[in-house]
Amino acid sequence: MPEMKRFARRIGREWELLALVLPTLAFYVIFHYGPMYGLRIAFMDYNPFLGFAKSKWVGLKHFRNFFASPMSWTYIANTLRISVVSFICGYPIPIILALMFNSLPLKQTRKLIQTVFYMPNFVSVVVTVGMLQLFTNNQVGIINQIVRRLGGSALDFTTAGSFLPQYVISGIWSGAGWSTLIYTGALAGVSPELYEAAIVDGASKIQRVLRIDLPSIAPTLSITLILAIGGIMSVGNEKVLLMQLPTNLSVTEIISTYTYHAGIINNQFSFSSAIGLMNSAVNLALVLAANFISRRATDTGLW
Amino acid sequence: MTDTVNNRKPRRTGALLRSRRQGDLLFDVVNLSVLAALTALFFYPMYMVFIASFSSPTMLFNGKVMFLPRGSNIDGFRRVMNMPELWRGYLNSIYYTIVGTAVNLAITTTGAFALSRKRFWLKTPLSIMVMVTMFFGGGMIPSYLLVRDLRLINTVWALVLPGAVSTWNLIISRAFLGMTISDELQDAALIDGCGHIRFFLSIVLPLSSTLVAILGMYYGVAHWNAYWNALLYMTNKDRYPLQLVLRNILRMAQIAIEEAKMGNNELIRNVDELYQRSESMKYIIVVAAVLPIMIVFPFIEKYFVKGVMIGSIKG
Repeated sequence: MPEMKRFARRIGREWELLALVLPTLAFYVIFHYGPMYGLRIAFMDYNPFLGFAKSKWVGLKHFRNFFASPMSWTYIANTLRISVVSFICGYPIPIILALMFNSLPLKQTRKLIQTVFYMPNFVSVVVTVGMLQLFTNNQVGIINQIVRRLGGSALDFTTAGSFLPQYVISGIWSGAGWSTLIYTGALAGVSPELYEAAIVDGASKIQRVLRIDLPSIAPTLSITLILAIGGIMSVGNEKVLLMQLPTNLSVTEIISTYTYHAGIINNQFSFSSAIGLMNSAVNLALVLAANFISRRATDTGLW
Repeated sequence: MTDTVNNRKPRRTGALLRSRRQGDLLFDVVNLSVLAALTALFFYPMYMVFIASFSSPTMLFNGKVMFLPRGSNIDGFRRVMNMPELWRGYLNSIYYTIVGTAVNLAITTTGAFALSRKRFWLKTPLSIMVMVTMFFGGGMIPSYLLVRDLRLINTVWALVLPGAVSTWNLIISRAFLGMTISDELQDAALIDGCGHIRFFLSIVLPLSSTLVAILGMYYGVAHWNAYWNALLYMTNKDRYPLQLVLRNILRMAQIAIEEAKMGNNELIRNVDELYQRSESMKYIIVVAAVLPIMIVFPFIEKYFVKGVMIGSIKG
């Protein structure tokens, strides 16, 4: 009898844990797995008036349509261009910054400098792009004011060619400082004895950076590299959409903004979902591939 | 181990000083000056917006405002104060941020606590279920249709429920609670007849104030800065959060200028003054939007940093 009671009490306790986890479970089922199930719309001709149940199945029609359109390749190329250039310019900067922070001998100065670098990460994308557009205003923006003062002729920041530098530089301003954290975290874990030994052996500061600091963040580097490669086909639409102008659409319409325009603005729900599904599948494959290669080559990976 | 390190400390700094050769001095000087220059470069945009908002439009647009504010912009401030949509956006954002963060905290902490219990039979399947969503999702349109079919459009819940838990935050919370709430503590409570819910409410939560602070700030800032979900799910202008109001204000003039440029040049000259005035107002609006974050950031920075550090342990 007492055993039965104890057993019942344990089940009761487990039920309490279940109750605690229930909201989380419901959230993931409804708002993550729900849309995944909703992806079947990509294989239908979804009609809002008929709903999911009565809309016709059309197989791969939307996928074929996407690849049949010559514009699709432009969107893919635009996506790749933005992410590759952002990666090449953006990836090394946090690493260099972290190494520089770590070598600063003055603690207080270091804190102050880091705060300045972290802050832009917490400025919203709307405000960041707003500031960018104020500064790059062709007539009265501060950049053209400076250019004119130096005797140059005003630059045109609304052209297709000027989009990418603006995107990349503002991206570095927003993210570079905050991205150093993952590296400074790794650097903080380096044993002080390593430095002592290096000093005793007469290593200079540069040698310490190259021989101790850099190798100690190598595993972190490979993880951030996997993530970056996995994300090469996923450029978010929030910022690009804010920066789109009639004059730069030829380079700013990317896969994710196109799904927004096709789906939300033009109500082509099925077609847009098909593009989204394809993009997600490619992203997943890229992460898996990058992780696999990294495991083989360096023995570090996401899992 | 720690003892020996502590004992050596004075000697270590001594060694450091002695071994500081000329090359090292040069390294420090270069490092510090490059960092100082970069810091100035990163700081300037914020500073510029700030001084520009205080300066008179004529001074500003004739290149007189570079390092210090010039003139005054009381007129501009008065105009901005009289924009009802901005104030409504502000109030809406405060409301969405409070409701959203409260829901985030309630769900994330309870879920993370349950998932941090090693003997919970659902721990592994649920954790896998959560991890999968980091790498694959339904995407924008299926989510949009779901929110629409649940009839959440134009309600606060459209901005709160689809992001009720951030997977990243759930994972750092689980790691934090797994480390701080030991099995011994839990067993002691259970033997004394304290159930999981009571244990969570009266022991775990009070012990996890740091975690709650970190989560609250991450979620709070995310809600304050978000515009995407509102763009998708809010069609009623009176319900727009601040960021969406901002986007529309900043965007409208931009488009208008492009259109004017494509039309005739006469028009541009006529709109010049109006245009300068509206550009100057945009500076004020931008400052109004970032000010709350700029004021609190130096105080809450350490919590954000801590959050990343917890994440990297179990990242």
